[in-house]
Amino acid sequence: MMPRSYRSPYLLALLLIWLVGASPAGATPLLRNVGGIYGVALEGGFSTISPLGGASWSYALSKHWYLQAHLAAAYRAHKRNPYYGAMLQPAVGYVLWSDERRYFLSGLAGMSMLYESRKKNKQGAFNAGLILGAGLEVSLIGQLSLLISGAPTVFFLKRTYGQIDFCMAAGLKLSF
Amino acid sequence: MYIRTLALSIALVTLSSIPSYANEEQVSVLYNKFTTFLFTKDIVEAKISSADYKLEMSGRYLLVRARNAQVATASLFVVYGKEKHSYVAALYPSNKAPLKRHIQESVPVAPVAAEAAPKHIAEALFANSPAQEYYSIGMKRQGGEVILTNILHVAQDTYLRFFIYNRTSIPFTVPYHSFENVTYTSRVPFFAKKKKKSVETTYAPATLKVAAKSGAYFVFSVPTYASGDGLDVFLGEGSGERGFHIFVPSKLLLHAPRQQSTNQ
Repeated sequence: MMPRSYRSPYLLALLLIWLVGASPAGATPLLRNVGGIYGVALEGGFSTISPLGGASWSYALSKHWYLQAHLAAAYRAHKRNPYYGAMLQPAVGYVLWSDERRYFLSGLAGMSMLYESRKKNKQGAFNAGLILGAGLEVSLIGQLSLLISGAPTVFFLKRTYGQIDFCMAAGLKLSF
Repeated sequence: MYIRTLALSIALVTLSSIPSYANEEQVSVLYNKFTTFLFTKDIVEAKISSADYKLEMSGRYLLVRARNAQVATASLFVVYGKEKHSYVAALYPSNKAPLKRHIQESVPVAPVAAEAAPKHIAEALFANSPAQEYYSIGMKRQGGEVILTNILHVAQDTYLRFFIYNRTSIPFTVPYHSFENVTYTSRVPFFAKKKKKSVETTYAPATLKVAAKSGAYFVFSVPTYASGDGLDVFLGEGSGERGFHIFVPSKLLLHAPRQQSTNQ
C-alpha cells in the first residue's frame, strides 16, 4: 500500500510535469528573460506579521531590465483581533547574474503601497514605503519557473508593527 | 506527512529541471571493414565531421569505416534523393556493428518545417549537440524570435546556431547580417563607449527565409576571436523593417564546447 502522500493529486501533477518536461526530444527552442517577454506569477509567503499570497505581472524591457507589479493580500487569523492587509508593489528589476540557461538572480527596487486593518481598530490605515529586494528565478520546464524572493520594506508613516517590514515569497511563474 | 510531501515535491521539481537532450540516432560502424549504408534514393552529398572516419559513396550506397576502435564520435550528414532528404547520425566505432544498414526515408532535421537553404556540413556539426544550450541570448520582436541556441568551436572557426521563429502570417526573409566583435572602452552608464571590429563570416546560409508560422535553425560561422566583451550580431529583414540585434557575451564564447577534429 502506497503512503497517502504519494497518492495526492498535487504529487501526481508534479510527476506529470516532470514526465512531460523530461520527454520532448525536438522541442521548439524558447527564450527566457529577454526583452519583450511577459510573465505572470502566483506566489505565497510571509511577512513579519502574517502569511500572504498574491500574483505578479512582469515585462522584460531588455535582457537585464524588467518591470514588475505585485499584488498581495495578507491575513492572520486571531480569535478576537484578526489582521487583514493588501499591498501593491510596483518595482523595477535588474538581472545581476545568470547562467544564460536556467538560473537568474536579480535585484529589485520599488514602492510598496499597503492597506491594513485589525478588527479591533475597525478603521484601516494606508501606508507607503520603499522596497529593496532580491529574487532568484529557476527555470523548471519550458516557460515555467520557480521564483524565490525576499525584500525588506521601509514604510514612510508610523505603524503599529514597526516601520520596517520584511517579506519572503515563493511561487511559480509562467512566461510568454 | 506534509514535510514528506514537500520533500518529494522538491525532488521531483529538481529532477524535472535536468535538461532534456534531443534523441540523435547513434549508429555504430565497423573499424576493421566498411559498414554499408543503403539509402532508398541516390546520394547527393555526404559529409562526416571527423577525419577519423573514411567515407566512400556510389549511387545509393555509402561506405563508412572508422580508422580504429578508439576514435571519437562524429556526425554523419547525408543528402539523398531529388527531394533532398537528409539523414543525420552520430557515428561511433564498434566491432559489433552490422555490415549493412538500410536507411528508411528521413524525417526533417528542423523541428518545424521551413524554407531553408540546403543543409551544409556546418549544420550537421550540431547533430550531437543539445537542441538548445542557451536560453537568454536572443530577441523577440513583432512576431519574430531569434534565439542563439548553440555555440561550437571547430578548428579556427566559431559556429553559431540560431533558431528563427516566425509567428506571423507573412514569410520572414533575412538577407542582411553583420557580425562585430565588441570591446567596451568606457562602461559609465549613459556614456558607455565601445570599440567595434567587423567580422566576415566564414559560413552563412545561402538564403535565410522562414515561412509563415514556422521556425528553423540556421548556422553561421565566424573566425574565432577573444573579444573584450562579446560579439554583436545583427540580422535584418529584407521585406520589412524588423532588425534583430543580439549580443553574445565573451564569457559564453570563451567557454563554448570545442569539437576536436574535423575534415573541413
